[in-house]
Amino acid sequence: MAPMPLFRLHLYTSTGFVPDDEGHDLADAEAAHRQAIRSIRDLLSEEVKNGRIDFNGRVVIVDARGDTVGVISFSEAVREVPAR
Amino acid sequence: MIDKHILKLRARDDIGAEEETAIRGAVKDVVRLPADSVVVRAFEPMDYSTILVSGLACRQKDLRDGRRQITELHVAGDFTDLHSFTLKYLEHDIATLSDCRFAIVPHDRLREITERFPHLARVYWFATNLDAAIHREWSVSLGRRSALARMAHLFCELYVRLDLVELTHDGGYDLPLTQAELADTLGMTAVHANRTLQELRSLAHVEFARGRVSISDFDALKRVAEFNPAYLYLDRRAR
Repeated sequence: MAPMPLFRLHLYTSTGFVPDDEGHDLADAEAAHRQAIRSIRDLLSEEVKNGRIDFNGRVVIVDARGDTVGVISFSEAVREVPAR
Repeated sequence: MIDKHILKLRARDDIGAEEETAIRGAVKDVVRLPADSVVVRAFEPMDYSTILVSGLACRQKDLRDGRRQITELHVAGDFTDLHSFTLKYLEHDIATLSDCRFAIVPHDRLREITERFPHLARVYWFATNLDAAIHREWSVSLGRRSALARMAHLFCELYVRLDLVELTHDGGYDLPLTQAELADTLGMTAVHANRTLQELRSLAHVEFARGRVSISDFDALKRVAEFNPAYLYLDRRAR
């Protein structure tokens, strides 16, 4: 089995930068995109439990060559239904 | 070969010389497996159990969408699947997280030594009860603890378990886990685990890098985790 391409999912939030030093073994850019969304939802759900949600953040997806192949902002990862 | 296992048993009870000889004699073979191997596959009939001699292994369950939950980590000296002796198959996989060596203990030899030494039957009954206690603590972690406390708790637990088998040194221990594997253990994504690590580093001065956990302030880490080691039943008494 061929090794899967390595993607880095770097995290930028209003409190700082968390580099992805190890990287993620994901099949392609589309899988990396899905994983970025899953990660943001995971981060935001923890925030909601703590009573505060900050949408000022993004995950920057970088491929094995160092090229940025996607930027997902926190607000893109969830659908907001405004209160009526 | 199974010195760590004997060390772990002796931390909680007296094991006589004859009993020790019987346990060592129950080992039929020792096998080496590279990292990321499945040692025992769920639902396969089992007629032997395995003692982890060296390395890091886990119990895990896969979900259909490709995610997995690591439900327990095993360190050297652990009987990784003693429960298959009575269950006859496992409903989960046992997998290696690093290069591992396992001692193979056939079930018929386990039956033999536990019949010859009823005390060993109780010692191994205790061992499966201890596993259950660890699982309960992990349920609390996964169900109720914050990401930060959950990670801190795991690092505390592993310190205590590895210290029993003399695998801690210089205020830390080797933990050959990738960030993705750590995340699968803690029920979160690797990005979340990464950020939680950064938070824990600034709050409790814990480092997890290049497969090693370094704890410079164990009390601070215990406070974040609300760690009470009583569930690891560390007292030595007749079982």
